[in-house]
This record gives sequence, structure tokens and C-alpha cells, in this order.
Amino acid sequence: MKFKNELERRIFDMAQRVCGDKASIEHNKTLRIEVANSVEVASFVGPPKKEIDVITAGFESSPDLKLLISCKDYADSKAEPADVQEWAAVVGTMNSYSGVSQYLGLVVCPIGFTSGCEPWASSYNLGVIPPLKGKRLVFPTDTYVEMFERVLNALSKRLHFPHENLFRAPEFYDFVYRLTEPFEGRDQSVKDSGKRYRLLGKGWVSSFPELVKTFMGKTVLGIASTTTGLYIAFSNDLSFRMIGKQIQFGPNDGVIGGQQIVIKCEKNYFGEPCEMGFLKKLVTGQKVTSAGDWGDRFEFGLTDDLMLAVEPERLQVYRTRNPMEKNLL
Amino acid sequence: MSDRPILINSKRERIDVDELIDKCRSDPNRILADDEVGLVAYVGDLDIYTVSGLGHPETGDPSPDVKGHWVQKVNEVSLVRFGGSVRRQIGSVVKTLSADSVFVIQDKDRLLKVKAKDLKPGMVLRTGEKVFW
Repeated sequence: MKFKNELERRIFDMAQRVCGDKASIEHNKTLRIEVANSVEVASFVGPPKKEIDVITAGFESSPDLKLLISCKDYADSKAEPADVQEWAAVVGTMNSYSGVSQYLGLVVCPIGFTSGCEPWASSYNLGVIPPLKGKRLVFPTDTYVEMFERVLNALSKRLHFPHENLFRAPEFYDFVYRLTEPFEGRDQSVKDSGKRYRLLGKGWVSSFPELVKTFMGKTVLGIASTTTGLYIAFSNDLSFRMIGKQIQFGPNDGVIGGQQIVIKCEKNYFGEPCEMGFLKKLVTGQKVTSAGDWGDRFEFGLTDDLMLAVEPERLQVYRTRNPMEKNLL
Repeated sequence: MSDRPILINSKRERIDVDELIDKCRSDPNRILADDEVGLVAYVGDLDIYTVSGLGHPETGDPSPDVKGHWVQKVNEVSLVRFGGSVRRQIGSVVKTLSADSVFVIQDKDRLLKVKAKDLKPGMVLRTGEKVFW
């Protein structure tokens, strides 16, 4: 199969992965319309004759619904309102003259859309990728393919339920927007904190706010240090792990990698040596009240005015009660 | 967190979003997406509503009840894992806040509502706490 560009290839591959043989691609397709008793060429015939490149995605859950996808692979200019209007005309014509099929439209342009496209896309009920309302309009190559995959998978499931509303503007535009807009936050989080936070089990990228939400109010149950990293067990079967510079957290799968080792433990603000047992006894049973990440050091604020600082090869505990010299551990 | 939607049922009673999502999970097709960026669930047939803001969702007309709100039917509930967040020091505490959390600022002889992302050093909250950064 020949593709006109890399964008088209990647979008079609994804459509095929999600929709199987209900995905198809046609180049220089002369628009044909269904009518009750014959098939005729639409009024897009020229001069010049209107030919389009279209990827069509169909769904088993609703065989009569088809998503018409337009790929705009522009090198250095964003899609213009004319691109959206053109696709609106195509989808509109197909719907006007169709017998049983119903069509929804989607325009993919990785370099983004000019701001004037939004009113056209919403009033014509076309989905656009990447989303228009976001602050950032240009995404990495992989992200727009992920967006497209998310939209197709979600639409496939959505069609199991009544979906007439999707044909009323701007419902489908909003549907696509709701599914694609959160990528901006995900990509920003990766940019801000790299891969520092990972969710256990799923391996998803995570963030400091999600970590705080997960552990706030949870009780420290135990600490283990191994050649792999530091493991802290919390109530609600949660685990916090510092593996090198990465923080992994989430449902505790019980895995503790590496050989058990003794790491440096300190007490009080200025760091006096102490036994791991001493530190564990203090923090076990305490609940998380706050958290802070200083890049190479993560701190849990705990009840009883304790602060537990976690570094890859060091643990420190101190009391935050004032005056400091009268509240030494 | 303000990145979690406020939902109500047809009796105008608040709905617990986590309980709603658990209920939705019994039918896998309802979970339209559940991945690294968040979760989207279809609730269009469950009689779920959200407060639509100051005006009618289509006409913009104010609610006939002075203290009332218009509500809008919800088709999909979207939970975002990476809602925009900002770090601010307010008073003596550094906080992670949703970018669209609203604060009330004392501005001379009037009160202003300001989103967390728009808080500026030197602003003073109605509660008397100062924004440092």
C-alpha cells in the first residue's frame, strides 16, 4: 500500500489496529454519494474535479457509522479555516446524500490549526487533532497518534450506547476535544519532571500532585532498603519506592528487588547518625500530612510533627516542632 | 481538587465521582478511555447533571431563582490525571493548587476572584494571607 506521507501512514496504521478491516484508505477519490436508487458523482466535479484523500474508519458496534479522516501534513504552516471548511463540505455532502450510512468527520494536522479554525470546526461538528482550545498547539509526533488512537477506541465503545447526539454540533467536536485536551497536561508534566514519577503496575507517567493525592492521610507501615532502592509500605496497600532518581508509587505488588542492605540513617535537622530501627519506630504508624520534592530528596510530613526525608541512599527523620533545640530526637 | 467535576443527580443531590466510576466499571463499554492521561466514562443514560455556570447552557439566561443554577445533562465524565497545577507560597505554606482554583483577593475596598494561575506576589487574600510567589 502506498501512502502520500508519513502522517497518513501512521494514522492509517492506527485506524487499522483499532478498526481492523473496517479501516480503509483511498487516494484521489472522486466523491460518490448514495441516493435511494442510484449512485452518482457529487457536485464536487470541477473544473477542477474534486478529488480527496480519505481514511475511513468503521466500527463493528455500529456498521452504518463511518468516520472520515483527513490528514493535513503541512511542513511549516498550520491548517487554515479553508481546510476545515473543505472537510465539512465533504462530510456534509456524504451525509446529505447517504442512504443508510452516517458520517462524522475528523481533521488531523500535527502542526496545528490557526485559531480561526475553531468556530468552523465546532459549528460543523468536526473533530480536530490536536485540540484547538489548548494553550499549546504543537505536539510531539507520537502524541497526536496517541490522541487519534484514544478517540477511535473511545468512539468504538461509545457507539454501544445511543449516539444520535454526536451528530448535533458541536457534540462530536466536544467529544474529540474532551478526549484529546488532557494530553497537554501529560506532556507538560513529562517536560517538567521527566520520568521522575511512575505509577506501579501500569508504568504510566505520573506527577507530584497525583502522588500527594495518593498518600495524603495514609499511614506508614514499614521501610525496607535494598541494593535496588528504598521501599516504604503504606496503609491501603500502597507502596512508595525510590529507585535511583525515580519515584514509583501505587498499589503494592509486594515486590522488593535486590538484596537487603543497611543505608545511612540520620536524625534531627543537622543530620546525626541513627539506627534504622530508631527511625522506623518513630515513623511507623504516622500519617502523611504533607509532601515535598526537592529533586534529589523527597520529604513526607507526618503526624506528630515529624518529617521523613528520603534520598536514594539516605533516610533522615526530624521533628519540625519549635524551638528546634528543645525538640531533638 | 477542581479538576474533578461536581456532579448531581436528578434530585439535585451531589454524586460521589469515585462511586459513579466504580459503578460504570461493571460495563467495560462505559469506560471509553482509562489510560495515562485520564479516564472518560459514558454516563449519558444515568441521569447525571452538572451545574452549567451562571447562565442557561444554550441561551445564557440567568436562572429564574436568584440563588439557583441551571444544570446540564452530562454524557461523559472526564477525569484528568494531569490537570494544570501551579505551586504557590501563600502565607507560610507552599501549596500545589489546581490552576483554576479560585481565591478571593482583598483589593483596596473591594474583593476580587482570582484563579490560582493568576495569583501574583504581593496579593493579599481575604483571609489575610499574603501571596509570596
